[in-house]
Amino acid sequence: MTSLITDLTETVVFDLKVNSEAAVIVKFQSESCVICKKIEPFLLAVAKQLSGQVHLGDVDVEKNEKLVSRYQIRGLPTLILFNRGREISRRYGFQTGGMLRAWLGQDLP
Amino acid sequence: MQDNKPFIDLVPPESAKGPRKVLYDDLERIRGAGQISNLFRAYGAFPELGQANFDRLNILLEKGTLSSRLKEAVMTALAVINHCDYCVSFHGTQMLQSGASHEEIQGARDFDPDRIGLCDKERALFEYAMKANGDAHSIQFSDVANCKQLGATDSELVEILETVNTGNAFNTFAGALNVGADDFLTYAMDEYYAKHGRDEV
Repeated sequence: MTSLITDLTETVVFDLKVNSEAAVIVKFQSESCVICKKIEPFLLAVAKQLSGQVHLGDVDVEKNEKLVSRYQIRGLPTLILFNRGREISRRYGFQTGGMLRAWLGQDLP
Repeated sequence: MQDNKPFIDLVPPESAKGPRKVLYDDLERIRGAGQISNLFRAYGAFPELGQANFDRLNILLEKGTLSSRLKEAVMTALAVINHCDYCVSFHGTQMLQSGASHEEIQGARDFDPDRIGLCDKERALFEYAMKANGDAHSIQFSDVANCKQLGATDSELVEILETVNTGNAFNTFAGALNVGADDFLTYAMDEYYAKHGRDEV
């Protein structure tokens, strides 16, 4: 994980970050999920292009079952866009830069 | 800063003999004098494979119907994904030579087909290539249908997928053998030297 993606695996850290920001994409992932790693350069590029409008975080699902249950995570990677703690929408599986831009273009607050 | 020393011997042209010299001569005949890339110097350790891969690359770049800009943009994006700084400089240089601007190359580096100067069909194929690279088994018939609706042929789908294969293969080769950038490259070399230093092969 790069330093531009905040580790939100701890519930306290997750709640603090997700509730305080206008737009956070959280990637629910695991260490063994190859696609979860492959999506990372695309997330970073899109976030950079949006210059601070959206923050990135990730949650290791193998280390926090509480968040997995709270958000009903059924597969990896699952990306959830939050606005001050409220889920706006989610995407599942690999996403290209174009798919991410279309998603955020539609749903970014 | 990373160590620049390649992990295998990159024999200079003046010392090449036998099948390695044949490969080097072919590279210079097609690419021009002094254009024997470090990647193909590494391939020179197994010249028959080097020749086969050079032939394959030439077919991909010369025989297809897709634009050089699209294929080099895909390979530039793959180089970013694979952390291959040499490959970013190499394919960025190729994009410059095909008439792309620095902003358009940055579009490829940001995985943004809308900023590369591509037509609608090529933008769809760029996305298809990124998806194929990221998770080929997630591709649906609708992804292919979208490309075809914009004019892509079966041959062009094969061509773009082979572009992905070739880009990844060369990125792997350059990374695993620590092959450094060529001194004839012109794109983002300041960036490259800032990371890797100048004491090249």
